[in-house]
Amino acid sequence: MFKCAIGHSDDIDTADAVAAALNTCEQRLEGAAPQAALIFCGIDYDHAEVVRLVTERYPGIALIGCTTDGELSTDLAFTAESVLIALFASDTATFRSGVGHPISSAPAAAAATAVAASRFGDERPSLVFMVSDGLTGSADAVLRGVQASTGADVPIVGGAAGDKRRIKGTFQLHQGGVSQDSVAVLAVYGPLHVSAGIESGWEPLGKRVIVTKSNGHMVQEIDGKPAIEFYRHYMGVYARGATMPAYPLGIWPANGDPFYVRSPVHIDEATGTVIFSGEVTQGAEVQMMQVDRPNIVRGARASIAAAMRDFPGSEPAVIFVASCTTRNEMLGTQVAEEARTVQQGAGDVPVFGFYAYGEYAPAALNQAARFHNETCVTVVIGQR
Amino acid sequence: MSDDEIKTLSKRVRFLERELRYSQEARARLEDLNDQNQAIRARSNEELAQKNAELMAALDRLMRAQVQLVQSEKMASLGQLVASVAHELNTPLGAIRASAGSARGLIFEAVTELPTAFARLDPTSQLAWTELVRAGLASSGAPPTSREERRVRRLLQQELEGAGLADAEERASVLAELGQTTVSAAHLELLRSPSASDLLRLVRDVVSASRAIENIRFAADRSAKMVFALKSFVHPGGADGAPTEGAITEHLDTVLTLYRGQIRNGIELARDYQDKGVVWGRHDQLNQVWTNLLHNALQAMEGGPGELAVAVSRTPDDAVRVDVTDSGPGIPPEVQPRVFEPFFTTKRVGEGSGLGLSICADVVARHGGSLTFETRPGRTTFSVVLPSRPAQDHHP
Repeated sequence: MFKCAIGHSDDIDTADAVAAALNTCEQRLEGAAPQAALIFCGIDYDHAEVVRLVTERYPGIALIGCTTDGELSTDLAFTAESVLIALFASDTATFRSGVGHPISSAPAAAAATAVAASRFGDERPSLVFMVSDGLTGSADAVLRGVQASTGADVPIVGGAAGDKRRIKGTFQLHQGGVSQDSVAVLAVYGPLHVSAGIESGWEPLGKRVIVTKSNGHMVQEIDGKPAIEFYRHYMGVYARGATMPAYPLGIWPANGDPFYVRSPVHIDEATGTVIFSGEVTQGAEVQMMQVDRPNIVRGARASIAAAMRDFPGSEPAVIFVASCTTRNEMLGTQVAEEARTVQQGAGDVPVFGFYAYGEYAPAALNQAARFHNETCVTVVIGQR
Repeated sequence: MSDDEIKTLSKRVRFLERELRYSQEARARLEDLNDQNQAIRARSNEELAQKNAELMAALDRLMRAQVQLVQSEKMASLGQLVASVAHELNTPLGAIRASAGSARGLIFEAVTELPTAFARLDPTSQLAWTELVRAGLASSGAPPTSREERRVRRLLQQELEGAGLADAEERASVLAELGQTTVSAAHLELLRSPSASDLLRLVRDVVSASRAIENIRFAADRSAKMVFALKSFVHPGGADGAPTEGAITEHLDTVLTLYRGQIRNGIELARDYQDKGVVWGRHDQLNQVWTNLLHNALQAMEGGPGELAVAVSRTPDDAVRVDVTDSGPGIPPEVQPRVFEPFFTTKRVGEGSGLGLSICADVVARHGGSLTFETRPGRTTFSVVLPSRPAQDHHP
């Protein structure tokens, strides 16, 4: 038995929202005792209160969660501010969680601490949920840290916490409380089937070029010229400010995999450096990307289709979604269309997830997870 | 209203307040974005204005460079022309120099020796001598053919021998040169006089001097023609820069005159003028076209015999067509698409700028005409078709 029950409430009062969400979950669990909780909630709730209320009702539960740029579920489609709780119950799976910080100054150590706390004997997790602060540190470095402890081939899915685009501070939730500048992991042990879809809907534009000079998130040169020139070539005078994320870089991995996306967040006009919301490796083959709203929805459709197609089992229990804040911003008033599209692809399997400041997922199940930008990650989970 | 209802209502109000706050946040973000875009637009306008100024400056520099290039191309083709003209002027000048020298010597000799020898003659012989001089001056010089000359000389020699005169062969030759076909009694009298040899030599001197002067006049005429061609090449029309009406055939002839030195060199020139080719245009510029086409044609046939054909005709729609055809090796297929490309040249470094045909095409286009070519080994024709009067939107 592997159950995942979802409760979703946009009640304005933290206690009422949590109560409503948990009540729905309990109904759906049909008496099964929850062992783990994944919580995504709006930035304006009392997060410590959320954690307290859940752990009070289920003492000893493995819990992680984070603030977002919106939540999505089968019940409410998209909500800008809500409490979304997923409770897991299983007689074959074991759940362990952990948290570590500070990821900005010691990403590897923080990740190691979090993973160490989530160990279950010597067992290899069959799935790891991961949330991290979306405004501090480097998501790539944190992911590398987690992978160093779990083993690179463990499927890791999740996202970076958001704060409704206020860019002031995000929160990570865990059974011990609330933290910032941290990474929280929920490891699932036991026989599970997992598959993932990773699609953005962004389309390549122009020729592929090489990143000739970069350092972490900063790209100094593309094709031997200042990175700003590459952007100005395509965007002209609009190569600055808030328009930038609509024109991300597609990174073509050397192994021939499909491209993944890096979102430009800032241009340093003095040095011509473009700063991205993820690492861009020096020597990487990159290409300009473009998208419109229909293509964003098309990306979500392709993502869930791939995840469902690749699911090796026969009975998916739940579908987890991590989509990007830029997709939310670009879809605007049509943002619920993405949740509805994923639900269409999922059929009657319950869907839950959140809008993140970057997504974690493996390109394929036997491959190491990667940090993505501006991508719709869908993960199908079911008992083996 | 019950407490529950009040609580629900209050929650609803707070919920709506929250929604309003988010809506305002979103609106503020949109306003920020809008401000940002406005700033970008303002800045982009500045940048565009600056870019525009830079482009205008660059364009100005390019145009000046182009004028310079066209000028240097003009100078280069002028250089080729000058070489040909120099050669053409040098030949008659050499002839003038040689003829002047010999005429001077001959006249000096005649003037110093003639009075003494002439005084020794009797009046009849004096008259015969004068007539010989007159006949010599009147005769054109060489008889129609050398065969005819030999025949006349033989007859004269027989007559002189028959009259028992010494040096019959030499004297017959002199008489033949002076245009005599028979020997009269007066001539025999003259030839028998003691100073006959001197007098015959003096007659010859006077006639030779006259012919030398005639040669000088001929050479001077030829030089004058060359200079005239040069003048009409440089100023083919009226005021500088103004389009005028002119006959293309005349201008072609001018250029052909200037290139005569090169054309003579194993190359046969065939002119086929079906029409005078009168068009309205900048003939100074069109002359550059003719010069280029003729020069290229001649260069294509360099180092061997060949045929240069220049044809002018009028098309059914009243345009003038000029075909310049050479019998050179033809333009290779890979070169053909680039023939009118600026700076493209197959000539050796320093021989051509690669601008010639590009400028020709430009000049022809500005006259509302077309410049095309057809080529195969042994026959390449460049054809210019010019309307008699360019349409209004063309400014040659």
